[in-house]
Amino acid sequence: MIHPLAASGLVRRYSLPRQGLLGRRDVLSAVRGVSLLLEEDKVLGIVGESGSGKSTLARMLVGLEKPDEGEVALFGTPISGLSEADMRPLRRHVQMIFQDPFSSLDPRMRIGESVAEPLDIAEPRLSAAARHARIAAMLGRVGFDESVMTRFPHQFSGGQRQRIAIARALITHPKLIVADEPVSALDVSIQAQILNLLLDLKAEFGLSMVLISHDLAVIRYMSDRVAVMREGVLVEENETEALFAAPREDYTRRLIAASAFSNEIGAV
Amino acid sequence: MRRALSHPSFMIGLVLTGFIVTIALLSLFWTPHDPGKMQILQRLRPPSVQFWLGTDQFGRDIASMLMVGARNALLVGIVAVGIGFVVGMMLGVFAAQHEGSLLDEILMRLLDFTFAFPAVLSAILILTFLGPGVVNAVIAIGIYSVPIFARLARGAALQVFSRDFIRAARLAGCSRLSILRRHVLPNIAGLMIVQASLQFSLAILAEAGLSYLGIGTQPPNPSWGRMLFDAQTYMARAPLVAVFPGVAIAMAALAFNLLGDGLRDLLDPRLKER
Amino acid sequence: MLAVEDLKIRIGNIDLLRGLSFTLGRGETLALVGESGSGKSLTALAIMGLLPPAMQVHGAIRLDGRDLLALDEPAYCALRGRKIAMVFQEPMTALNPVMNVGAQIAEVLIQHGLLDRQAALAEAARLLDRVGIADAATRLGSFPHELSGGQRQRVIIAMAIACQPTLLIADEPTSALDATVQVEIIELLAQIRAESGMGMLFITHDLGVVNRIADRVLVLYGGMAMEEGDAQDVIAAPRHPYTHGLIAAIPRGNARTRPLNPIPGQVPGAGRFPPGCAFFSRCPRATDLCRNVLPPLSEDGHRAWCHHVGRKWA
Repeated sequence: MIHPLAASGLVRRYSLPRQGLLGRRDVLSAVRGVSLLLEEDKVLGIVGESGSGKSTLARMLVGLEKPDEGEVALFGTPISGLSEADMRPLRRHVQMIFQDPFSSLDPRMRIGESVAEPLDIAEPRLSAAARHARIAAMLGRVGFDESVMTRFPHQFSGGQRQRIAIARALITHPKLIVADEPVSALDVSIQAQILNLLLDLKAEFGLSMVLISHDLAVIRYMSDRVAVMREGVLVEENETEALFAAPREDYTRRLIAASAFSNEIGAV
Repeated sequence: MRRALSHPSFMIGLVLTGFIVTIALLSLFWTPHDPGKMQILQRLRPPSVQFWLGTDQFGRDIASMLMVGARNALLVGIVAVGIGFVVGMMLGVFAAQHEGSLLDEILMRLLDFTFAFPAVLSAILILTFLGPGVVNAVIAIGIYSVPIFARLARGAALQVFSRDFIRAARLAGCSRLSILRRHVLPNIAGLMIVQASLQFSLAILAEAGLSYLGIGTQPPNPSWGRMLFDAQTYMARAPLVAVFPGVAIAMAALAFNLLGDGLRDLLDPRLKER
Repeated sequence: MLAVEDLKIRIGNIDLLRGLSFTLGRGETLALVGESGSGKSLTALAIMGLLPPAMQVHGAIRLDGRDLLALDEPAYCALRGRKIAMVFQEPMTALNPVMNVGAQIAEVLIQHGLLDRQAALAEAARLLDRVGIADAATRLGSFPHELSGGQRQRVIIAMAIACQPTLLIADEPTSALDATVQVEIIELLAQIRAESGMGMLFITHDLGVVNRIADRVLVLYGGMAMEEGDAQDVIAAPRHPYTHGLIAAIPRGNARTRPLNPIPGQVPGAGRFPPGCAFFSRCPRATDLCRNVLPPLSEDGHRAWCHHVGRKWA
């Protein structure tokens, strides 16, 4: 079976600014050897605190950054050696949802244009009518009337912008989505809406998903498997309920204890 | 739009700029007199019905000279600022794309070096190499404008590059060039245009200064700076000959400055999305 | 100790806070819970006298009987840091980057004329130790950028409690911190409150935190109070549909076994609330009465402002 995503031995280092004119340049290892495997139609949740390297990992998984060592394979194709031109046909199958809804849409572009961007590159020969229909349909699927196509991002709230970003991510019917903290910047009541939307869309489009978050409750809710990331490495990985029932690592236990707040609140 | 109409700096700037541009355009078709025509018998006359703003020491009509001078000043401004804007923007965005690399460092230090010289001084230096004349003045003014635009473009482009919609565009498969064209340029345009307006004001002052020194626009081409220089000798007899070009220079510089300030105020808060 | 009476905040002709009343006693922790647009941060700023001048404030805020809204700026300055202190959300920006932390803590003491420079620095070291920073004496000379987020927040707490205030307001003090650090900071705040007997107003959007630290909770939405009562009671058995919805929106367990039923729609923009109940547009029990008429109080103790208070929700 072809895994939608397979990563092995990923390493990424950054050179920090020089100390003084002739000082050394320190090297920060953001990701220090991460390997993971995503099964089809499953959600892999990666949980980590700040500085764990999870966002860097996310960018490497979708091909936005090249790892210094290691390899990423999308649907069986290794991508690290590919040029931009070679990557282009793969782009339509892998998309990302970003954390900050205020930064993920170009403020100068209308909503319709923003959502259409991946589509225009993947299917440039679509007729104007067909293109319009696809955009309208996807916006409808995330809960918008087609009249929003001519409006600008600043007219929408954070939760609404996140839904637009989801529409853009799904317009080319990708098979793999990497979601980097998709709900962290949203109000609690809106978070739940977006999470349910993501699950519905996953079922409808047959998506495989990597979900990255610092919020263990969100990870537990959405994921089939969970990997715990700390300081550039995955310290533990297991099926979701197995991890929560019997965490092996001390760090995992601490994380679970810290987020136990939510679990203490009984069902109403 | 409504905000634009109620913003005092912007409106004053707009009106003044419009006035100057209109005069300059008009000079292409009509001036009260031929600005080059010397009528020695009529030299240093005060303003009258025949000579609206009087005549200079050669009997030339000051009003006509101011009008053509406006045209020249605007031309110099447009071309010089245009050079600075285009070259500066390209260099700035290029530097931003290669941020942190040796190329970026070298480029920025070169620009800093150019920037360190006082404007008119560097223009004079450049003209020493190129020789006097309006074309060279334009080049000189253009060259020293480049660092300002480059700095601004680099900073603004860096900010845009850090936003997620750029990553989203790359994920969509956009080429680097395409991203620059569709996403970066429109988002830095506002800041750059404001700066262009302010630079225009400086360019007008620079051109006047260089022409005053005799190395800018050469006679018989009318230039406000040159008119000031010529009028020095006659300050006691006919002070108005100096006042009018002086006012013209000041008014033009002020006009573009206010326009730029007003534009900055109008564009800035709207650029902030939250 | 603190009594807020019918607090209203307007800007232009938009109501941001529509008549809020609550009390806080010494030694008590009241949690103010709400999402964006609820007015919780504005309430805190109003108590501190830090609202922008463009906002008009009506009502009364009484601290030990004194109406704070009637104070002029110099009088308010004397209070801030001394009797009422605030801890903000962003530890990055709340500290002066060019002063070392010892100096910043000492400044509070010196400003209020409590100690001279020498003694203030000594007290600063003691405070740093109290808030759990190791090697306190050496750390006095550290600059903010040399400390982690959690440590910075501890420094801010030290500054807040330096003059032993009677009221401490904490506005989302842990939201910008990692989960493991959050626990420590909240425990620290709880300890400090217990030891000092001061009252604490804790503002948060996180009900889990409320459960951990608060004695009472006040739930806000759209500039109005929705529910108030003992923290554990309200969370275990909410009376107001909004509170119920908030609790139901927290992910627990896995989606397959316990799917979420989130509150539909979103918070209306400022100025777009109906004259009646602010929650009208998203409430499963809303009727015309709710839109037009402000809901009444139900009963003392555990209060819910709703026309349809009850225990069963569809």
